[in-house]
Amino acid sequence: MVNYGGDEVSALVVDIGSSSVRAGYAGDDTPKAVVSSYYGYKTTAGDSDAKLYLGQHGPSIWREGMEIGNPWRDALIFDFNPIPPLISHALSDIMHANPSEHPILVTEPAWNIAANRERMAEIMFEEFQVPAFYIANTGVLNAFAAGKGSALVIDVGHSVASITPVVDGFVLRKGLVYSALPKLVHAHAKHVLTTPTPTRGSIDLYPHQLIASKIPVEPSASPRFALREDRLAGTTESWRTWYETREVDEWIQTVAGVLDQGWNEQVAAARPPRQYEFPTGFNTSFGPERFQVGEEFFYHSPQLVAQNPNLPKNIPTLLSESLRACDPDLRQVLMGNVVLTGGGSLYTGFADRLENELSRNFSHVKIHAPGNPIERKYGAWLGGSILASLGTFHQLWISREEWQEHGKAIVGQRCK
Amino acid sequence: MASGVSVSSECMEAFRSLKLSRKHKYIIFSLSADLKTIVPVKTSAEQDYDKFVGDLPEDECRWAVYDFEFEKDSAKRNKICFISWSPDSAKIKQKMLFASSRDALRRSFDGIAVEIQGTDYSEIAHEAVLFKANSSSR
Amino acid sequence: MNVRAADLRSALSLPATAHSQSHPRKPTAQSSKKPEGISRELYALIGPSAPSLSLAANLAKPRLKQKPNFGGRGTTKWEWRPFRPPARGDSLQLEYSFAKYDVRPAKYTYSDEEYSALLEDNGWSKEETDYLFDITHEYDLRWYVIHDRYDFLGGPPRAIEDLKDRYYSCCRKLIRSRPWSGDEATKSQLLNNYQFDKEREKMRKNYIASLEERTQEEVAEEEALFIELKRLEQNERRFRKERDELLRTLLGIESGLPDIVAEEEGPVPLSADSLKKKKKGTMDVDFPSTPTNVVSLGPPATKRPQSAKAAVYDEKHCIMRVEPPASATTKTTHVPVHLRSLKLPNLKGTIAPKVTEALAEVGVRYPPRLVMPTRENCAKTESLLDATTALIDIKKIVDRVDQDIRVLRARLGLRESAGTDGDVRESMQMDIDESKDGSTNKEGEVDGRAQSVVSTRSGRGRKQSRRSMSVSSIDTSASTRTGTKRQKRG
Repeated sequence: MVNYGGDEVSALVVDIGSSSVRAGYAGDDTPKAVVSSYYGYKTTAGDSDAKLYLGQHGPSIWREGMEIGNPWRDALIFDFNPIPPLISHALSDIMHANPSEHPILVTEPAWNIAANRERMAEIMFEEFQVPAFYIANTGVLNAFAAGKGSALVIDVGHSVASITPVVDGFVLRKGLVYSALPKLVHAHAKHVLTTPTPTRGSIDLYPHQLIASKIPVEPSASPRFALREDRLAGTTESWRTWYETREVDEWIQTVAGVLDQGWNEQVAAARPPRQYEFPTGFNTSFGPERFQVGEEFFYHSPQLVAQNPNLPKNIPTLLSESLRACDPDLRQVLMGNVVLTGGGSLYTGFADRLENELSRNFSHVKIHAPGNPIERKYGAWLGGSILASLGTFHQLWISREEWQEHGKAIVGQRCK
Repeated sequence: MASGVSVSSECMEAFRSLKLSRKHKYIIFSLSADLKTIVPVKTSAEQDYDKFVGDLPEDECRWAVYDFEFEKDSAKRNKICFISWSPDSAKIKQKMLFASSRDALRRSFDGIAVEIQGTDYSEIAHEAVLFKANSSSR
Repeated sequence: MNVRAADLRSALSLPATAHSQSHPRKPTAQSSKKPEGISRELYALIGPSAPSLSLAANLAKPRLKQKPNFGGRGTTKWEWRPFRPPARGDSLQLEYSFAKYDVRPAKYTYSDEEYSALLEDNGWSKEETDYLFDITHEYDLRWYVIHDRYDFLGGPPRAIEDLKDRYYSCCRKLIRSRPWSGDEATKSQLLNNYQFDKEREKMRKNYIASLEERTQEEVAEEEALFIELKRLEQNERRFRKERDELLRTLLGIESGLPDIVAEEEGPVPLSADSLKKKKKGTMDVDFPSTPTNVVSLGPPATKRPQSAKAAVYDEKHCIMRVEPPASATTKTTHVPVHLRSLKLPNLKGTIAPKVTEALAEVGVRYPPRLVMPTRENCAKTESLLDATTALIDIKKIVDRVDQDIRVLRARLGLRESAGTDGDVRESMQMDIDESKDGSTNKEGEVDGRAQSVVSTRSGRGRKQSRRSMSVSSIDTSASTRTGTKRQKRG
């Protein structure tokens, strides 16, 4: 609790990811608001103050000519314009909190650039008029939330997989590596679904918003559905990409897995297949291909590598790059304290596979992977929530006065 | 990034009497009830290492300083170990609190030769500590 | 201050020295002895030659957090890094109490004059040195973090060791040059806290890195070799034990005739025995290959503990040892470091006092203490011992034969009951007595007789062994054979 103007006021914690913005009160176990980072907008008049469609009634509602945007690009916030509306939506609309009354802790990726964190501070102090601000590193928060001052944090998110060495609460930037691996995995999953197999054709990824009616069909039978022809013409390319992404994600979360011992055709075939039904009514069971998807995290076939020179690095490659950049003395400590986090790591078998990959090259490997999916998905938010709830933490807040006195420079000084 | 928790003078005194007058074999530290200061919760001259391990609660975080004695090359050696005990089964709030406060305590002590992050009993078992103690005196 | 030392030590992976931990029960004298099992080289690095030692003695009274006082100059002072400014008024008090117990290492700063007088370095500009000091203080000497954040524009890439080396060497120079109000011991202790051996650290790091870069196969091979080594060591210990037992048994038996094998120069053809040993990988390493390698100094030694001591002695007195020529034998592959003097045959059992006695008669002390245990002297001493031993053995045989003759004669006399051959017996006895007396009294004859005995023995060709002492050669080969058999069984 922070003493502000005589009343005890909870701090707010905001964790902005590429898939969602998590916001809530410090001290809570889960974020009160989880808002999609994707937003809808229309490019009608070309004015910059165009209305953004956010949250539950945002991208998921079909609107004629609505485009979909996302502030993130290449693992950094690229477009800050939608950030205030997104935060405001989470804090004011959903939580009914007044940001000007609460200190606010925002998270940032370990590779964030100074300009971005300063911009974030500026938004908070100038637009939201917050009394105090702190920006905390997700890598360190995840390490701390796992009870570790020194750890190797493997964070597999929605669009970025990163490995962050943390020592005594500091990120070792030279050992920090990341790639757009989840996007590759996603692309592979989409490829699996849309490529015909001997037993089925290409799968349509239409969302329910575009389906007028459907009739239940036998497993693996061709779907029988009617499209909302009235909507097809008004559907933008970006919205189509967005819903297809969502459909694929949904499928991945329900069906996909990773073989814990590495790729093996027999083992994959021996695993029970999983049933999945698409919005079109098409339903089938997925066998070995559901493990092929997760395999992309750990292994890329030589052909794939040959065809794509800029292929995102897989986990073993990232790991060896990260460790190579770390002092030899540190490697043992880091390998004994691996923290696995991020919603993208929730594949069945992911943690086991990781452990096997690591144990092959290192002795004394220990992986901390919270079994609780909330902790795994919102690890950084939770860490920030606990930290910001501490009475003693208020020494670290950048106060409004300090911001006014020192300006942007204070951010880098305080939030090391 | 730190919690801002402070270290009580009792911690320093307890550590001094472990290090200099060797009154204690180990000290166990925790956070005060208001979560604002780190305080020693137990000092002991018990020589049995297992007793020390037994003093670390199964699902709560602690810090400990242990005057570890071992033989190397048939010579007796002592190393002061700093142990961060953060069992997997502890509540996430405690883990976060202890991990973010650790540095304050650790940096108040000089002469720590071995640092251990323990999340289960195997990591703080005598052999594990011995291994670290040995390898840190190469 | 001690934080510094501890950090350094942990960074260097050095054992905490007596002074940092102030353990009263670690007396200085104790540590000057080389502990068993450490290699001499390593011990020289971490052992008594380490500068910390001289300080340890001065630290009977433990000091905590002593802050050196640099006295008068005034241009530079110790300064605490400014503590985090309070974010809010109400936190001020809290921070104060926090700061009070927040032990931070002292920070060095330097003036421009000091820099140009002391700290100039071709590899470092003043700007970069300033930067280094700033960042080092900013991150409280967390070197991993400092190295990670280190980014001096236009500067060359720096390894973590480079940074530490520059920082600590600057600090040392500053300490040395500034007026010191305390005693010398405190000063050298402080200096010692700032010691940093860059090359050694780099070597250690490279070693760790190379360990990690081993391939799976290499690791497996190494493990296999290690197990094999352990096994061999175990076998060796067993052989030695068995041989020792055998030695004792053999020497205890009256009939056990020591048999002396002459030194043969030049390479010896591989015997079937030694070939087998080689194949098996058995290391028969207890004795050096040739007697010329054996030097005497002090009592012949038994086994390891003494040789470890001897190695220290060796080190202290700068004694260089020469490896025996590799061609001299088939067993040179694994001869451990030893003193020639320690490899002198160890006389055992009943024969030792007799040798002592015999040597005393000619004015030689046993066990022999050579002032200059050169290879030659040792060889001579050894041949003297051999000769004496042989002589005593011959005497023993003669005595026994004499006795036998006497007994037989007596029987014969009884049987034939003739008194005519009495003087014959007399004269024979006289002869034998004379020869015995002569041999012990006249040195010149000792050699001659010994030689003759030697040649008879080698003529018989009972053993292929090239050892000077026949007893040991018998035993070695015997135990080796046993060992080989066991190995097969195992």
